[in-house]
Amino acid sequence: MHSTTHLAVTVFGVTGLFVLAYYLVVNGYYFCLHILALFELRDNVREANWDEPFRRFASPFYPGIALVVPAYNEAATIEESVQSMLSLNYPELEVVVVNDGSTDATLKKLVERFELKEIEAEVPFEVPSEEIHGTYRSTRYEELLVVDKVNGGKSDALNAGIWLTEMPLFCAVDSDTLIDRDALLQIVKPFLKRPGTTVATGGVIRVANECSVRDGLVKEVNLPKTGLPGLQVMEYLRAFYSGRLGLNRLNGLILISGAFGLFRTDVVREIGGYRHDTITEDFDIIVRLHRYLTDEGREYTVDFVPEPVAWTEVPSSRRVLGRQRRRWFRGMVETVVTNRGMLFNPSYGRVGTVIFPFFVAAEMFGPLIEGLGYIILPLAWYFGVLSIEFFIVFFLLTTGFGIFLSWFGVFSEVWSFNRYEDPRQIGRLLWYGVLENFGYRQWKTIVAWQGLLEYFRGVDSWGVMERGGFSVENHKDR
Amino acid sequence: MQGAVAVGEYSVPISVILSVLGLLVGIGLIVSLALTMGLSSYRSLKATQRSRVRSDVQSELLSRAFAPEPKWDEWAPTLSKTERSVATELLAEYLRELDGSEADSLKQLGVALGIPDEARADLERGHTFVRLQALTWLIRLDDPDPYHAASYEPTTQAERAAVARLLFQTGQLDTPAAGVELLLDGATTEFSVFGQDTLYRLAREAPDAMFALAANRYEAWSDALLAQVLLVHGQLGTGIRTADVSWLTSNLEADDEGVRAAAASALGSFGWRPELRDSRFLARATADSSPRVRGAVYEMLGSWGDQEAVTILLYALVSEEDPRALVRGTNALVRRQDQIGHSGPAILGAAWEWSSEHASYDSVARGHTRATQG
Amino acid sequence: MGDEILIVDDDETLRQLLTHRLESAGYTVRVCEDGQAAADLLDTEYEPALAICDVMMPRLDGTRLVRMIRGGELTVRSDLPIVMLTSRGQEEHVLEGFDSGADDYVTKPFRAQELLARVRRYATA
Repeated sequence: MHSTTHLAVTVFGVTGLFVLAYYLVVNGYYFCLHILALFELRDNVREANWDEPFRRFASPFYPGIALVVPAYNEAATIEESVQSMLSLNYPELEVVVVNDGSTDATLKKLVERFELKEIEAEVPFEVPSEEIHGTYRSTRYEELLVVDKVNGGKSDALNAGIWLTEMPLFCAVDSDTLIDRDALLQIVKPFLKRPGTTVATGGVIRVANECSVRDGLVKEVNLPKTGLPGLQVMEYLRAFYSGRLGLNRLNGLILISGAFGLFRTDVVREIGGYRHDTITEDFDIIVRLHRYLTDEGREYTVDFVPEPVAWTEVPSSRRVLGRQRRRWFRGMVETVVTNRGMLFNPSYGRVGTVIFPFFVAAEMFGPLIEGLGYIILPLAWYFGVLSIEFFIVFFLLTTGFGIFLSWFGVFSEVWSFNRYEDPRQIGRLLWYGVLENFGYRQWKTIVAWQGLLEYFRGVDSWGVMERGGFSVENHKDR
Repeated sequence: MQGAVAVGEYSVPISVILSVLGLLVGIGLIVSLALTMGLSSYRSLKATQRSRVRSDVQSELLSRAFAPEPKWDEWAPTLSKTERSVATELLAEYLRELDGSEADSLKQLGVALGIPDEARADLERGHTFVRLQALTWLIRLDDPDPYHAASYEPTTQAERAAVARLLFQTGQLDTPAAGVELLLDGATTEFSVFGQDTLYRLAREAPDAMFALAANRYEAWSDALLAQVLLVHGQLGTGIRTADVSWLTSNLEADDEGVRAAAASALGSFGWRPELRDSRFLARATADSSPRVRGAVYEMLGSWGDQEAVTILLYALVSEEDPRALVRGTNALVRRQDQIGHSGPAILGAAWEWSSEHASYDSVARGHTRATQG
Repeated sequence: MGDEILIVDDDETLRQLLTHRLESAGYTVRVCEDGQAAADLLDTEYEPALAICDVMMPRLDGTRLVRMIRGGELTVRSDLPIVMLTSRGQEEHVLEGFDSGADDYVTKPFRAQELLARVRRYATA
């Protein structure tokens, strides 16, 4: 008996210390990333301030972009979205809306509003997606192409769009993302700087809740009034500034959010497009691009444009948010497991040896271990193994340092693009930064564990995000 | 293990670690709070100042710009720092829109605001984007003197392109060919799109010179750069009269696929050249191993557009198996459908129907014809 | 009494510039921020002597607006003189502009004098 207790006590103690050490390292990683991000930001702001002295719209060398929009049961918002997409400021634009077997009036609304007529000819190529019922052209808007197909999920719909466009670049957008009028002009910049080597760029997503939106354009940037969306604003800011931007400096793995990314059409076709059996197809495709191009020995760059250009509505109910985050976590685990061959693999350069492993340690194992910490450390103290100070240190490392990183994120935003111009908004954001680390963060560790369990159980559902359009309150939870 | 952490020989009490950490985090928090709120308030203040003065500065600027005698030298010194900054911003916007005598007048404002002098200083000391911004201003103001006066040499491809654009625009180049030389001099890697566009604008003034230069130097260039230069040629249209095109045709048989495709697009405007009509040459071109290159060749034949070219295109398409190359071919063919009888396209089946329906919708959307049965 | 000119452009700088110039030349100017607002306005009793219209605008772009006017879809007379203003200097776009029914087509950067001369010619025709 005595030796079992002794063993248990030792295990507790060691685990507790391990958790602390782990957190020290992870926080060090985030801090370094954030510093790197600042350097990157300085260059980016300078570059954003430089207007290239040529008339873009009169240049025959500007690459054409196809906006690929998968739509499933979006009858409430589809007309407004597509109309605003057609008005985007860009020399050569094509809008491809893929109706993924909607059961509501989505297609009908499109046909009526944009005066669509069905093309009688068959599609002359093999498209790796579910069967296409028909393609439609508009008699008023020559840049619009609508594809009607059997339901197959978002990846499938994106593939249909990608295979049917003739544009050299495509931008995968969710139909409920609001895109700034000049967004494409911003996000195409890396392709203009290095036309031969850039294969993908990612744009920054901001939170649209409470912003006043007119005709599909964000007119006034406001902070959400209620807690959960506000916390997410803070979270998105921090994730971009200490996550993606810093990684970009290292020319590393970029998480191009599914809501807004620009890719080279031919290369994505070469890797077979988006995969159907992934949960987070955006993360998956970027990892696969890295693998493929490295395996082929091709020179390539993946870039990130920090100028905020797209807005999306985030869940305001805990239930929906939880579902979304569990799905993201499941998807991340799945992609990491599938691509585990890249971990610590020197043939993938810095991405394989340093960045991907750190990413996995911080983003995947991080929340899991933190969750453990919240249980083990108090228990260790209770059983007298570790003094209370250990727990306080843990708390400082997670929560305290977390607040610091959040505030650092807000500072980076103010220093660079300053989209929230009113100091009172900044004050609120800082407060959200505090709240984010007291409760929200801890809740997310629970979500991470749930996501992991769901992954092992093989849960595969998409979940339904209730959407109420932008001018209407979110639907009540059913 | 209770209250300390053992590191080698030393035992550091956990309470010490705790205090140190607590102190670090505390300081970090206070500093970031102060900096953030401070910076935000400062920027907000500046923004309010700017918006307050903007409409006055704007109306004053506009009335002077359109007046016969603007007297900028009298006005500029009276401006406060904020007003100057707003005026500079407005100046940049207006110069983007205007040309002619009003633009000339506005350029004088640039001088009165001291921009050329600042630009010169920036060229000598600044970071690359600062220098590029200085060059942009000089281009806007049509003023090459600060560039010449500064002890500055362009180092990056982007800077070279900006300098070339500046000299070209202000007529400082002995010949446009000199500008082309400047751009291509020492260039080994690809241009940005801005650089490519500058090359295009320069080459438009001196297409023969550009052509000759490229013919001489192309072997030293990287494939990516060569492809870009070839695409520029493709845009130059029929401007090139002289010289033999053998360097273009030999590039149609280069190793790199991108170069071959670009060469095909360049040849699109040379349809009038008899030496390109050699049947064996065209047979090799249409049988290229890469579908991307074949597609470009079909578009080339489509550009040539005469009966002979279109017939060759049609026959090539009949045996084309790659669906994308085929559609590129049928797209090109549709534009020349007046050259062929209606018997031809039936062989091509789905691809032809697809292309011609899309082309008819393009027309309809542009309002040329009333929507007819597709 | 000055002739009425309608300016349709989403760029604030340009609207102010044109307004200033035209007003100092004696015209009365009204502005619209995008094609849809202009279409709504032209569907009322308003009958300007000429419209200056940008091509790229949100909601309803210039080319489609011109087609709507020429097609008689709005209350305003279908032969309203229209001058189009745009950054798209490529030849094919210029031709497209003429095809849609504009009377004249000016690319940016433009000479204010020239624009004014064209306005005078079409507005009094």
